[in-house]
Amino acid sequence: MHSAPISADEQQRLEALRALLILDTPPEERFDRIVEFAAAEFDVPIALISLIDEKRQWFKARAGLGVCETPRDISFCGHAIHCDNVLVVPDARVDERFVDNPLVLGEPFIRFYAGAPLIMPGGQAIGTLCLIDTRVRRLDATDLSILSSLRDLAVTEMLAPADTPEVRA
Amino acid sequence: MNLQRVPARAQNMTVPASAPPDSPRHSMLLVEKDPLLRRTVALTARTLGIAHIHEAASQASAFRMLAERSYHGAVIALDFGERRYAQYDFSLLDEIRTSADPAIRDMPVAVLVDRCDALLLQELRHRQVTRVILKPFRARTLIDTFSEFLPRQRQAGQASA
Repeated sequence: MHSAPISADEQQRLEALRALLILDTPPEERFDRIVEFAAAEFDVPIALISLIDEKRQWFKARAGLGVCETPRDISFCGHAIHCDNVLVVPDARVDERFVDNPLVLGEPFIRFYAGAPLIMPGGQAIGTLCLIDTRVRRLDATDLSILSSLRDLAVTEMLAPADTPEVRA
Repeated sequence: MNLQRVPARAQNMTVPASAPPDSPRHSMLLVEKDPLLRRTVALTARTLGIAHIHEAASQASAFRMLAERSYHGAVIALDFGERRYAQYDFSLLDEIRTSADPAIRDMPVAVLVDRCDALLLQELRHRQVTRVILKPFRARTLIDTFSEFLPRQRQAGQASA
């Protein structure tokens, strides 16, 4: 297993994340709706808005997953934040970065992962909007674009004041 | 000249409101209450260069938008309007199909409905509805529908040329 890497701009990345004052805050409907929409759109059992803190990934919104955080070093999202585009792992069991990852070998038995980095205006990737499935999957260009659009909407919500959501039922 | 360096990631970031590399030439109308579905479809269609989607949250908004300009196609979520629990409100479809502007009158139209029976299908056929999309509504389905409208427009353009 390859542990999630730490980049040279880690301190600035953490500052950008903490400036949002979003870590360990209660669930919010505006983010819950995005992950629920993503899970339904892509027909996956798990969709998350994951924020990569210093030692953990913490889920601001989660559909289909019981835990609210996992260690950063075993996180898929810890890899995805280093990608300019969406990180797609069609089958984690044949990917050397993840083949012996505890999240692959045990609950939630990840096979497929797609994570779109949440990039702040200063360029720091603070987390991801991600999809997880227990079966092998592939995404085409339209799927990737839809996931990126949902990611953009999540970023817009994060940068907007909580009392003026742009995505509301 | 005073140039500031911008982080590589900042240059590549995707911001919803920003202009895509190639602005789509086609303008289409999406009438749908759910802002998340609407925004996702509009952003994705623009990113993929399919069309510029004009969003209407209600049929009332769509009436106003149709009075201002024409579109190359429309996807319309039908609702019950004033006739709650009775039958779908076809007034927007009728407005389109009886428009004095041939660009509006002849544009391809798809509808979103919760369910569809033979009677409703007959009403929709009568109004030259191109496609009926049933719940659950997925962004992918709507984007594919807008894509399917493009060749129809090209064919129509060639026929009238």
